[in-house]
Formats: sequence, structure tokens, C-alpha cells
Amino acid sequence: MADKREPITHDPSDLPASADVVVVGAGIMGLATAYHLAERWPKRRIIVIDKGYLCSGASGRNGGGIRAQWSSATNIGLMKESLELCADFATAMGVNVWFRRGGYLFLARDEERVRQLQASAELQQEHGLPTRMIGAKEAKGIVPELETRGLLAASWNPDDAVVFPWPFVWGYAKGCAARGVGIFPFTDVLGFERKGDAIAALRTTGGTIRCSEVILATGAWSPEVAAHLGLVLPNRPHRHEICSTEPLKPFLGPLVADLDSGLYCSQSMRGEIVGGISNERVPEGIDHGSSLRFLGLYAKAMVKTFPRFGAVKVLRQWSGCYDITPDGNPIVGPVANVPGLTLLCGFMGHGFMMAPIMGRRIADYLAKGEGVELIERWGLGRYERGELLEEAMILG
Amino acid sequence: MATVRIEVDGDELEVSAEDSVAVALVRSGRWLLGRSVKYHRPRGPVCFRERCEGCLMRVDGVPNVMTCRKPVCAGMKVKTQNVVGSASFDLLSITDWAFPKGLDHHHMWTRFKPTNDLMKKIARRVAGVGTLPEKAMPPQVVETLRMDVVVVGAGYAGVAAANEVARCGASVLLVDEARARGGEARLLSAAGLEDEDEEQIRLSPPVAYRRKTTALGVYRARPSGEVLDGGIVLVHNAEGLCAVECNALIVASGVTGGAVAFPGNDLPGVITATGALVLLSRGVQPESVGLVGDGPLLSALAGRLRDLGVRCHGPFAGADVQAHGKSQVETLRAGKKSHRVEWVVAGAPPSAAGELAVQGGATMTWGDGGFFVDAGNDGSTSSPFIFAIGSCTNRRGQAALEQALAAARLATGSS
Repeated sequence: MADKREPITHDPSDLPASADVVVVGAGIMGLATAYHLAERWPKRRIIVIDKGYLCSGASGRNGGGIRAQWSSATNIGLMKESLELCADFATAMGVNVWFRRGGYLFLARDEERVRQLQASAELQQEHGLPTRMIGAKEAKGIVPELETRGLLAASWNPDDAVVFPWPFVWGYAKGCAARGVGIFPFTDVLGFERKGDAIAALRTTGGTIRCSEVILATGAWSPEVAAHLGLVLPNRPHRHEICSTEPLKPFLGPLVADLDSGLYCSQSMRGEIVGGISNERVPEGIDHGSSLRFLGLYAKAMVKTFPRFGAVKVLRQWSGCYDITPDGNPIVGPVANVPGLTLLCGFMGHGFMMAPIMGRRIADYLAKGEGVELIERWGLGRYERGELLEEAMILG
Repeated sequence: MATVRIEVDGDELEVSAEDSVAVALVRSGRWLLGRSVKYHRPRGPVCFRERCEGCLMRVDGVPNVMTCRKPVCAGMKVKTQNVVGSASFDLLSITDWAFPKGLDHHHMWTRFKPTNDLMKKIARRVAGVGTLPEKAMPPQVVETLRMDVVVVGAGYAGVAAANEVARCGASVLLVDEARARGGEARLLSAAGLEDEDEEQIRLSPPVAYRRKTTALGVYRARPSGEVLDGGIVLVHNAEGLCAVECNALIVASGVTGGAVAFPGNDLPGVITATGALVLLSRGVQPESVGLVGDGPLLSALAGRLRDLGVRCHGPFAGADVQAHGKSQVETLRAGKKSHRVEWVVAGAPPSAAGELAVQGGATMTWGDGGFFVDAGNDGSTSSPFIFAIGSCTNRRGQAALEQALAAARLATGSS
């Protein structure tokens, strides 16, 4: 069944001299955006550039969790839609992504966490989600390997899901190519040329592209790219580690998470347990190393939560970088003194699951001026105005 | 020869007490130990030194055990994994029969949602190789050690380096996965191809040596997060885990033989040259063998096999042969002739077992038909903390020994 595959990315040396729109960052966020923009702007020349290769960034390194259990109406509403887009992705884009609705189980070990999860669950129910609080006994019924001593309650949404991330990138890239969007890997931004305040061109390792419309979907690299424009972004890169185990026959239904330790794990379609845990003591900036500290933290927390996992073999550990913001919410939309620039960053390590819906929303905003409310809520200007937002359900 | 009784898939088997599980099974005539993940094709041990996936079985309730180096013990329970039915009659091998040209799982059944959903359900059901271990393991305390130098690999180069480190007055831990020192040389001698040089593996006290110990990883920061000039080497053996903080790591991990591409090369019974050496060293030999590929090791092996009275066919080039058999290799077809064989030994130029060095910051480059760790004649790499010596840097014999001594001196700051 070997089919003839056309290459979906271009040679960096073929970089055009001009474009109508340049999306910087060919992760899922940039590709989804370009894909939807190309549909709304079929006559415009849209290209996506990336300093690495497809899947080299966070889009290729994450654990593939897709959930609607959030603590703000905005996030719940967005992710409810994104989940459905992910469920349809394989048939819509013609590539298997192994979307599986095993649910998400958030554990609560103290009364404060129970209250927080309860409040979020109620808000999710108002949005029509089947999320509900369950007791330790019911949690053990869903995950028999769970140690329930010390477990007070859990928040359970059976409709939350996990996917394998890479084919999302391939699928959007293929879709982009089919819509005439050029994707140029190994193309790094060196600087910008301005015409007054407005962007006139991007200088890259592959040459200069005359362009006035630029979208920054560069995740952890956003602050350093924005700095070329004299723009100081409040987000900063953070390294997050992850590991996977030997493949076991399927037994773990949901993704299990503990917001206090940041521990999470799920079983992939190949049978591997994929998971991570919070770790603040990481090198600053962009770093893709792996640490002994992570292994120790993860192993201890895992065995406390699932005693039978002690003899399971970890096969490999790796890491990825995402950008974190002062208020746990993304930074999206135009920038006051840089006409032509649109930011699409600050997703706190949850950009992958948000990309399917955000790609649409940003395209609708840019092409049709729709959805201004979201753009204003998540705009960069909120920090100056002191209008910080909140989000309690962040794993990372 | 002392024997013990083990249980394999419910049947009792009497085996030599000195054998590993995989060697015991091969000696008893069973090469088919498991099935491949996707197509459920027959699988058996290939390398016999924990560098492939062919020997994975469930042992005493623990999944995915590498049986090639798992010593047998009385009452051990061994089970085939990943089959519906038995190892020889796995119902799921219908996948292999149904998709002779391969199964494109990336694009299959993406047209309609109901069939796509069904396909995913099936895919998840058949995925995975072992089942969760039966028992919870009691928590283990990680041993911590402080050494000036850690040497990974107790072949001739590693032993020379460790001895030199000790001679320079520094503390050194030498580890090796095998049960005896000597690496490739010992294997050649145990298989009757060469005479071992006992001098080369003699340790000068106070070299600390741990055998049957694997170096799992190397890190440049403590668990507290504190970044080190040196690093921590994580080693593991039957006693548990040990984190060794050191100023320098000398990697002497050797090489792994390459694979030769030919139809049927995944059949149980198709093994590497070093795999053949392991079997010969345990006194297991075939009646007839097919040789594929090239290299000095393969020719030396052919000579030894002939001396043992084994009927040898070849060596043939990989492009000229096909291996055939149902659950293990039965014939090797070369040109128009079909040879009945018990083993096929396929030899290709080796590559460095360089993962540890690369994790620590060294680099690997392609050359001489394989990948080797980039290291100078003094063992230095692109990381000031990592040294690499011996065959993993594509050096052997006297050049390797000189490199080992130079690396030891650099590692201890004595040069």
C-alpha cells in the first residue's frame, strides 16, 4: 500500500521574496491558522516558516491530552469545540490521529482542591459537559490500579480525550499544501524591516521576505522573536519533561492528573504510559535536556498513585518547551504599536489542544473581524491595564 | 552439568542451570519466543546481548524481560507475550497474511467515521506487548556513590582505562552488563576463536567493579537541580539503582553489529555474528548454518564452525539470499540453490553503542559503514565531561589501548 507522497514542505532555499501573510512557527498553532486563513483568503499568498522541522517543537513533544475540563467559561467553551474538531480530524484531514475518549480524571487530596474542582465542574456542567465529582470508590472503579488512600474525590469527564500529536501536524501541513500554503522549515527569523511602526519585511536565514502581515505562533520562542520588533513580551519559556514506558496491553482508560503535584499520565494507543510532573527547577530559557530530578519526582509520584506501576520500565525521557504567562492565559491578537503583527502565543503548555479551535478563531478574526471579544480578553494590553485573568486547571 | 526445572507456557522444561532463558530455549530447539507488534510475525533472539527486541518474554509476572541475559532459576515461570492462542499458532498473525504489502496505519480507514472508530477500537485492543506486572514493587532506596571517574564497559579498553585511573591515584567504578570482563575479546575466546589474554582483564586494586550492571543514563545536574561540572551516572543491577556522582565518565561500551537486509531476515534463527558467538560459548551449535554478509568476524566465525563440524553455506551477499521458514528459519535460498539451515548468521559492519556518550553531550558520526562516537586519540569528545574509547570510537588493538590510557590521564587531570 505504498502510496506516492508529495513532499509537503519546501526547500528553505525556495523561500519567496514576498508574501501576503507570513506565519512564523510551523507547529500545530501556526499550521492550523495558516490552513484556515488560506480558506478565507484563497487569493493571498500565505507562507509558514519555522526554524526547525515539522514536529521539532512542542507540537511534537507533548503528551497528546485534549480536555474541556477548565475553570473559566472561555476555556471551557473553546475546548468543548476543539474536542469535537479533534474527534473529526482523522476523517476530515485523511490521517489517523488515534483520538480516544478515555476521559480525564482530576484527583483531589484535600478539601481546597475538592472545592476548586467542584466549582469548575459546575461551570462545565452549565456548558453542557458531563463532568461530575465522584468519590474515591467510584474513581477506583474507573482505574482499579489507583491507590485511593488519601484520595478525597475526583473530577471526572468521560468525554475528554488523548491523541497522538504528530499526525495533527502532518494533517494540517498536508491541508496547507493542498491550499497553496508554502511551508519552509529550517528558516529562522533574523530580524524585521519596518516602515514607520509597520512591518515591511522579515529577514530570515533563507533571505528577506517582503511582507506586512505577520502572525507569531512561536510558542516558547515568542519572546525572542518579538524582541526583534523591540517588543518585550511578559511570557517566558519553560522546559517541561515527559517520559514513556514499555508498551503494555490496554488497561488505563482515562488520563489521570493531580493538579497539586502536576502529575499526569495516560496510556497511548501503542500501550505506553506517557506522563510528566511539575518541576520548577529547570534551566532557564530554551532547553531540551532531560534530568534525573524529573525521573525521581515522576517515579515517586507515580508509584504513590499507582503502586503496581513500580516494576514498569521507562524506555525514554525527553522534554519540550512552552511559554508561560503571568496570569495563566494566552496572549493573542494585535499589538498596539506594531501594525500588521498578530500574536498567538502564551498557551501555557496547552496550545496543542487549543490549536484546532484557535486556528479557526484567529482566521475568522483576521479575515472577517469576528470574535473580537476573545481577542480583547486575551490581548497583550491587559497586562498594562492590570486586568489579569485566572485559570486553575493548568497541568505543567 | 547442573540442571533446573522451569515452566514455559505451562510446560515443564529441564534446562542447564548456567544458561540464560533465551539460550535455554534455543538449546531445547525453540527459537520462536514472541510475535512482532504490528503484524504478529514470528520473533526470536537476534543479538543475545540485550540490544534487540527478539527475546522479550514475561518472566515471573514481569513483562518484557530480555531473556537473553536473564539467568534461569528453579521454578521460574516464563510466558510468551502478545499472542492470541499460542506462540506457534497466533490468531493475530492473520494481519500479516491479510496485508502482504504492508498496512499503512496512518491512512487506513479514514474515509468514514464509523469504520474509523471501529478500526481504532481494534488497534487499541491489539496494541501493547506485556501486561501490567502482577505485584507492586516495594520502594527501593537509591544508593548514592561518589567517584572521581566512572568507566562503562569492561572490555580491554575499559579495563585499561580503569586501571590507569587507579594508577593515577583517583577513585574509579567500572561497570559492565555482562557477567565477566573482557567484552568482545572474551566472547571470541569463549567461542573458541581466539585465546583470551588474562592480563588484559586483570584489575589493579582499588578499581571498584560491578558486573551485570547497566548504565541507564547520565545527567549533568543533581536531583536537587544543582548543575554539576561533572555528572551523575545512573547504574542498575539486581540489587537496585545507584546514582554515581563523578568528575568524568569514560564510555567504552563497544559496538553492536549491523543488520543485513534480505527477505526473511526477521525469522527466528537469523542472528548476528556476536549472537552466534554467545551460543557457541554456551556450547550450543547447529548442524548446518547459512552465512550472510561480510566482515572479519563472519569469516573467523565460519572457520570455527567448520572446525566444529558444522555444515556452512556461504558467506553470501545479502542481495543474493532469501530466508524461508514457518516459525523459524528452515532454508536459505542463494541464487538457484536452497540450503537447509538451522541458523542464519548475518554480519554487517557494526555501529557504536554510543547512546550514553551522546546523552552526555558527545556526538556520533557516520564512517566505515557505521556510526561511531567522535573522539580524539586521547578519548576527548565535544563534552569535557565525557570521554569515549575503544571500538565505540572505531579504534581497536594498540590504538585503543593508547587511547584508553590517554583518556584516563585526562579524566583524572593527570596529563
